[in-house]
Amino acid sequence: MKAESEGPVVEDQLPPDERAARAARDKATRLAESAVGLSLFAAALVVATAFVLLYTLGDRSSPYYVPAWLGVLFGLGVVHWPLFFWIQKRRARAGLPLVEAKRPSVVRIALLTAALAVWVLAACLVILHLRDFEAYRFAIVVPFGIGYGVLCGIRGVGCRQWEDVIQGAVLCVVSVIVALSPRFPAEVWLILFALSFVLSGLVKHLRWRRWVGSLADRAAEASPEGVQP
Amino acid sequence: MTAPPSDIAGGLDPLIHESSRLVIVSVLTECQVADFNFLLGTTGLTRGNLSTHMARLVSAGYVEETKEFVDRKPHTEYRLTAAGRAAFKRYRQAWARLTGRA
Repeated sequence: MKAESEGPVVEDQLPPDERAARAARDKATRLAESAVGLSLFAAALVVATAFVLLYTLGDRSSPYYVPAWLGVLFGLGVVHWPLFFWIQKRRARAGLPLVEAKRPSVVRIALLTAALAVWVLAACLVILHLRDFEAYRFAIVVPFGIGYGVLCGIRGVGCRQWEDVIQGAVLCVVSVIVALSPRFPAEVWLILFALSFVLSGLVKHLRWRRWVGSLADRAAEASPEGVQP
Repeated sequence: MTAPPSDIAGGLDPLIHESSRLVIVSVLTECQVADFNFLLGTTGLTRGNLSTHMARLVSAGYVEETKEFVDRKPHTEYRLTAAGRAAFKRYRQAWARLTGRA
């Protein structure tokens, strides 16, 4: 239908295309969520590498060992967003489609970040006070793994991001195994935790790339907005 | 006597009721920010149609438009305003009432 020829009477006679609207909404949700894929992948890859280096080269008896692990974990969340906005800026400059997922308000983000920082600090103090690295499993692995896993799964269902659902389920199962098995090192759990974000980010990024690639066929005509073929 | 447009449509906002704009508003409901190219890709509309529909939504105050130049190329971003979100919510409620009656 040509927008220029439409009138109010014609519009009123049209039945609302709920199925098309829902399909477009789902597609937009998936793509908006997938837009964070590259930044998530890059930040998590750095964190996973840092974890592996800490595990293989770190000195467990050092007082900086535990804070270093948790600092890197906290860094994942802090670095991810500036990286995302930088990537979005580059995408816009390259003429690629730009979209941002609906996110909570600044106040809510600040409160969540502060709560996470307090949690990480408390975990550091508990682990260092007990002088037992295995306190990790009670301070970080169980609440963070199971709690985050469940939230990630619920959000994945809501956003139709099935890799998030799988990630949440795997995190829950692995966290329960770590909690029940004292032989399973907490460091390995943290490495798996970071790797799950690497895979999740990679899946999201590949989905984004596939969609951008599919636009090439439509971009043959002259583009004042600069669609990248 | 002729009934007002809102009564004819059962309280459905005619600005959102049009199928293309329903798709656009649905897409923007799920996004913080979306640019012209993204909307073009997700809605499947032509450039001319999308421009016209966006102009109507912007003039109604349902959508906020940000125009800038990136590397000397125009770049237009859209986001739903609070009024737009409220209107879409009212539309969905009205549609639910109507289908409930049917």
